[in-house]
Amino acid sequence: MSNYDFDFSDEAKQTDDELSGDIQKLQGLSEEQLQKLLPNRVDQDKLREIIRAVNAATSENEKKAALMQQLQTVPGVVKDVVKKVISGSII
Amino acid sequence: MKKQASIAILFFFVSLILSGCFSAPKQTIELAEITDEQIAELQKSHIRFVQLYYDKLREDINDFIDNKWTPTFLSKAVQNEQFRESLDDAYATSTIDPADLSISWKGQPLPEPQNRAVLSGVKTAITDEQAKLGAVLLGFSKAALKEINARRTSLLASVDDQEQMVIDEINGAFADLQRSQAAIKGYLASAVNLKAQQDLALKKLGVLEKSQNLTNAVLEKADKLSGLLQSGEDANKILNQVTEEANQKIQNIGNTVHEIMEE
Repeated sequence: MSNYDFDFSDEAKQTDDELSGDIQKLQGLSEEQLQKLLPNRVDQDKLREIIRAVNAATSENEKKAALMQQLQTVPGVVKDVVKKVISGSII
Repeated sequence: MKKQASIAILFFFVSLILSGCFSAPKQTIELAEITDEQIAELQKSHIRFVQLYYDKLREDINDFIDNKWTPTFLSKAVQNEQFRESLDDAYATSTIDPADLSISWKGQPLPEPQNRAVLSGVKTAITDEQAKLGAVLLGFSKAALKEINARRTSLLASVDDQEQMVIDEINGAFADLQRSQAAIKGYLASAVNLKAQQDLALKKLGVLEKSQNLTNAVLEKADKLSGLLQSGEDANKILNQVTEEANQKIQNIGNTVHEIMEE
């Protein structure tokens, strides 16, 4: 340490005090402004639950579609039964 | 066992026909994809606006530090007691010009070579003090820069932290939206696929047309019922008529199921 290691922390503090108004304006948004501007996040548990329900319905549809695809290849005897079931008497 | 299997198939296809009433065009997937892209674009746009705001704030901070805080601070720092003492001592000696010196001894100019020897000593002393003045000014610069940089860093760090927090919040909200949108899109895709498979299955069974006829007939009845109610006819009479038709349909379904079970 030389003889000329000056300490200007007091002068810096005095400057901060003198210019506190300007410094305040440069702090960005206040807590209140942030609260107003930021999006309100949805309840994460509720969102997870809803997405799970929709995904379950999706999975159900996929299973039905796969089954439907398989049924298109079943022998004619099943088709005959089904045809009777959904014959004109229902319609 | 065979009966149970037949019943299962029967109910499956009845439910198939009923669920086949919904409409899920392929365009719903396209629409979901457009929405996906729009969400991504909106997110980019929001983030860019936030970054522009904070970039401007950082610019303002640098301007403030350079043009307001530093001059105010330096005007106080040069009055620092320790610095002042060191500066004044060094400055007082280092500004002496040896050419301005005339050395006398007992009222008479000092003769050579003594004059030369004394002047040489004074020049050495002045050079030492000039070096000391340089060290004082260097020490001043270091200490002043330390404070200036600390203020700049502190103000910028606060803004950087806030910017990151805002971006995290916005990204989090968009992530929620994208997760929800992905679930909806997945569901729509499965519904479109299911509808396509149902139509194909019904077409192969030759009943798609009948199914559509049924839908049209239901819609026609609904329109008719709505028209009758609006025309002001007796509501009880209309209800009786509808109930009778419904009972007849139920009876037909029962008969058909009975026939199949008997085969």
